[in-house]
Amino acid sequence: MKFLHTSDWQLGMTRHFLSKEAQGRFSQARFDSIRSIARVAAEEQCAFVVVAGDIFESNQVDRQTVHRALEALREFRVPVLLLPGNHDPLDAATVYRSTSFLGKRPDNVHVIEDSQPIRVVDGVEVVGAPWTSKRPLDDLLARVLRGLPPAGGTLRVAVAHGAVDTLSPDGSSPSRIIVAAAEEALSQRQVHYVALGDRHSVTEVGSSRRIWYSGTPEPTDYDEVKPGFVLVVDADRESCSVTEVATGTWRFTEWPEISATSPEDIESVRQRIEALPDKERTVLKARLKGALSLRLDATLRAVLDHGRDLLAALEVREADYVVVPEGQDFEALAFSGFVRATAEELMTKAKAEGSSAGEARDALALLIRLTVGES
Amino acid sequence: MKILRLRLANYRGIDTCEVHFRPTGVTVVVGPNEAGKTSLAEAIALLFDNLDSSSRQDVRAVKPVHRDAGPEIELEAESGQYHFVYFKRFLKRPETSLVVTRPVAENFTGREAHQRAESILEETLDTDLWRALLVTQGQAFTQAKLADQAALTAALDRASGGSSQDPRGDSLHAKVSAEVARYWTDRGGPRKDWQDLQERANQAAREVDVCRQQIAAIDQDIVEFDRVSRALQSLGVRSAELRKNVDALRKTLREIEVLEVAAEKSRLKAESLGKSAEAAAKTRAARADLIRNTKTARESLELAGSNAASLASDFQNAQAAVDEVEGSHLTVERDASTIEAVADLRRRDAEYLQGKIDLELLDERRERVESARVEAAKARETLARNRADDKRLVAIDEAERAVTIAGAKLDSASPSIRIKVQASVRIESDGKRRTLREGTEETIPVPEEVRLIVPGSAEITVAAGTSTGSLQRKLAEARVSLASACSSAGVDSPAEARRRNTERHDADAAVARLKHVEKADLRDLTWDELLTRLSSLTRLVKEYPGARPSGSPQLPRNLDAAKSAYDAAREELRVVRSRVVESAAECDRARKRRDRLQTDAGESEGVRRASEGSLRRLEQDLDKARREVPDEAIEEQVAQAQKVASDAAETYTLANTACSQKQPEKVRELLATEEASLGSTDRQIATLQKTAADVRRRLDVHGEAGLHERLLAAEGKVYAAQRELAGLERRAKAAQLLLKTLTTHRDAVRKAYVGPLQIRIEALGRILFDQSFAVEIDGELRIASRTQHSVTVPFDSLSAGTREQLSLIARVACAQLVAAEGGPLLLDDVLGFTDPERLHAMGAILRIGGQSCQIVLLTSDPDRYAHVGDVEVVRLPPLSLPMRN
Repeated sequence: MKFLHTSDWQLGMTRHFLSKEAQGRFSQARFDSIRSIARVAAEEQCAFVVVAGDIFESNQVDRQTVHRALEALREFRVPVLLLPGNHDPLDAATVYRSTSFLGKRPDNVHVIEDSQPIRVVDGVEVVGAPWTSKRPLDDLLARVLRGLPPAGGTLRVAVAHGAVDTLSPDGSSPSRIIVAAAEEALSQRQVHYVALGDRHSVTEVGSSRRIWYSGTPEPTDYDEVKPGFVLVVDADRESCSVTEVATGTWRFTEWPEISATSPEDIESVRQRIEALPDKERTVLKARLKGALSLRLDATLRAVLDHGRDLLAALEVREADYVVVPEGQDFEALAFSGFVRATAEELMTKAKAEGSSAGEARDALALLIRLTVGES
Repeated sequence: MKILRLRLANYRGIDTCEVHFRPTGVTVVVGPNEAGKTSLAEAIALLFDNLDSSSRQDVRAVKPVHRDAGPEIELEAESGQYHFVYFKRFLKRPETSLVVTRPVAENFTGREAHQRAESILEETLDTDLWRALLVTQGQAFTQAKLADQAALTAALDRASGGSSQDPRGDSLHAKVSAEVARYWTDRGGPRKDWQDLQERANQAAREVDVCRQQIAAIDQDIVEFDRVSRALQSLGVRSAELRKNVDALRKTLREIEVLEVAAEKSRLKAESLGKSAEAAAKTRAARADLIRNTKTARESLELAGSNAASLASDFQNAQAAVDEVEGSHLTVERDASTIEAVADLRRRDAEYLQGKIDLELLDERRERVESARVEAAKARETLARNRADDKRLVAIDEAERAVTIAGAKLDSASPSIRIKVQASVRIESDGKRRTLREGTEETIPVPEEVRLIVPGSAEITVAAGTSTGSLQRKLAEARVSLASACSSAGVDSPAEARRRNTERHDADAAVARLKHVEKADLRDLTWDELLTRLSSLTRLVKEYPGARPSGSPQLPRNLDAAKSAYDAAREELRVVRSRVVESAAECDRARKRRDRLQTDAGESEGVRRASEGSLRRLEQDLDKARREVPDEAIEEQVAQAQKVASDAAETYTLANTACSQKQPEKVRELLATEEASLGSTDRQIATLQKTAADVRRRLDVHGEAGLHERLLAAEGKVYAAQRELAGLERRAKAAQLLLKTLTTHRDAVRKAYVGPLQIRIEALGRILFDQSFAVEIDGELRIASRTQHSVTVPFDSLSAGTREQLSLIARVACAQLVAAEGGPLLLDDVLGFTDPERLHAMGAILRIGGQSCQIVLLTSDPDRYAHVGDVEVVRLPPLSLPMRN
């Protein structure tokens, strides 16, 4: 029996570092990925689809977001089961009971509202652990599994959302999913696969080969290890194989240390940006390290500005980068008289420590700009 | 640049004109009027500034009016290493040519020529400074704008020994100023764009707050909905429990109510029998009361009888006392009336005696008045009858005197008879008989005719004849007048008249005396009052003695005695009257006491009679009651009724105990409490259900408002605006810092190169003023003030002449400084405000200037520059036609 496991669509997510236009593309990509998943499900002949939480970025998403999501969900030809997660819990304000959602929900889309087993197709049950508040006080999956009768001849898929204890550094969170409990249920044949959501990177959990995080189908941030996949699960009571299918179109790339000390470094930056594929769907964060003269800084900035024009976003961190005015910045300009005196005073200030140094560097850069503009 | 030659043709009013200038030294250009020479300066500017194709207003302005010809300008000049001839014709057949002869021969025409000329000028001349140093008419006492002039700055730098100034410095400063102005207002505040950006950031931040608050409100509602749902669940359980309890308690209560009805019935019976026993006891008590009351009434009657007797006797005694004091009071009253009568008599006696005296006095007064009245009446009669008043008497006296005079005149004129009597003889003349004595003589006048009779002897008639006729007539007339006067006065003769006049005077006096007498004797009375008074006094005096009561004491002998008798009687009367008052008061007291006792006795008697009545009634009642039910029968009934009542009470106690054992109060209280709790719980449920509905509604409304996207969008805006703001602020601060630093250094440099300019100005100025002359130069290279003999005056406060001289000195000083790369110092009509003594000194200054620079003085008054030394004087030809403007 094949089915598709996905999660963390995070519909309605916005990224502040994106321009309005880039944000539009980013949002659209998330709706498009739903259609991609539908295609995968069809191609792989999946019998149903489980989405393990965080379908929406928030319960308070715009009606338009809900309607677009439901419109995309129409692409599926098989049942789709949506599990409320920590971003979209089934609380009093849940999006899943809003008129927007209820009014446009396609018939094949179901929301898992309680822990009763749901017979999705013949011989298959899905049992979910929906979030009913943003702060559950225990392991929701364990609670579901405790009261679950043996599966008998039915293939049973558990769907849950949240951090697992083996991967979560936050030992104090009461809602962590206890992997041992899940594995115990697997070994007891109460369930045959545990579909998890919350972690945005595709991750296998434990040693049972039946517990997986599908990760988000479209990346959302730099810190995601392996985003952009869905899982096609082929399982029966005896065996289980999981196939990762790539769906992501965006990239979040981080260059944690870009050396900026010489013209060669600048050229290297230029080439690296040049080499990036799918630039309009790539978000780049670069941390500059080093020091450049005013003139080289201007060159570097031109390179970065060019990159910014091409990329979906380019965030530059300059905490470890300084512009150091140097004599040669001015030699070509051949200042004399009071202009020279001005430049010298600002140079002295620029080389000093403290916040006024930055101001002096900016003033020097301005001086160069206005002078060059003049000549 | 040095101008060597300038040729103009078809230029304003000038047909053609060529002027040569000294390359160094002073050239004075004398024009017939201001416009001609002014054209020279204007033409040089036009030549360099405009393409030959230009049709700008200032080009069109120089076209001659009367001819359709293009204005031509040709300039031969040296500038730096170049020597050239530059020609332009405008408007008509425009043409440009530039012929450079040094350092290398070059030839240009058209736009190329224009551009080459521009580049030569730019290379060799600081045109801005040149323009600044130009003095066009009417600007003589404004100072040249010298700051920011590169050539001057460089020259000053060289002069001050500093490094050469960056030629870009001033324009760079201007650009930085403009950059600062992009961000900051003149007052140092952020510009509108900046503020708008700030406002956008704030607005977005507010939007973020609003969204967060609304989301927080939703979260709160979610929690609230949860709480309410849980509370509703637990309240539902409690409500069911309570309802069960209420049902059980109601059942118990119904059982209790059955027992309570039975107990109530026996209680009513016991109560009824108890009342019967009480009634019997009451009857017995009433009989005892009746017996006791009868006894008490009898005792009361005895007491009342003795009281009444005692009070009646007291009353009798009091009545006797009243009779006694009333008797003595009558006696005193009688004494009093006797004494009163005596006092009255004494008073009337005194009045009588006084009346007598008054009567005499009044009567005398009456008599006096009366006699005066009689006299006055007589006098009035006399006055009425007697007409010989003083006026008439005077008339008579005068008439008499006239008769006497007339008589005397007649006598003296008329004959007379003189008789010498020898023997006494009797005669009769004029009817009168008289005796003429012996020895006497008598003359008898004869006015007319005298008849003298000697009785018995002779009758002699003597006639006077006609000679005395008129006198006789006058005498006769006088006599008639006299007779008339006398008759008017009612008298026969003047003698009578005199007597009667005296009579009249006496009568007047009598009338006058009457008034006097009336005033003295009537005094305040009228005549009638006097008479009335008199008559009443007369009656009193006449009647009183007879009217006095007989037997009364003798009439006192005089008024004084009468008065003292009256006083004594009055004193006696006062004493007796006080005794009357005292005894009256005593009577009153006695009567009151008697009346009181009478009342008391009456009351006491009333009490006694009443007591008697009640006793009789009580005795009758008792008798009647005993006849109906004897005392012994009553005692028996009481005992019977009490027994029955006690049995019924015992029955009730048993029933009541049975009921109490079921604890009806407790059951009722518990039921009430449980019912109240149930009600309260149900109300709470209703309230919570309403709250839940409200929360649900709010969530439905806000949950789908897209708050999540709104919040993220607003956060994005805040992020973007803050980034933009940070960049803007950074740029603004950089610009500000750069400008500040640049300005500081520029000002410092300016201060340094102010020195050489100041030295030159002061050196030249001391030729005009004296050794104490000094100036202060400001950062803009302008003269700020002049100091002479330690007195410093700001430039603007100096006289027009001095300002003109100082401005010119400053220009010459500048021209000296930049001699190599400066243009000609073209001065149009300067020193117009300078007095003749100073013209000498100014001439010297211009001459000194001319040693290193080319100076061109344009003037219509060449004498003004007579003291400039060796000068080239050029006269412009007269204009062909008047200038257009």
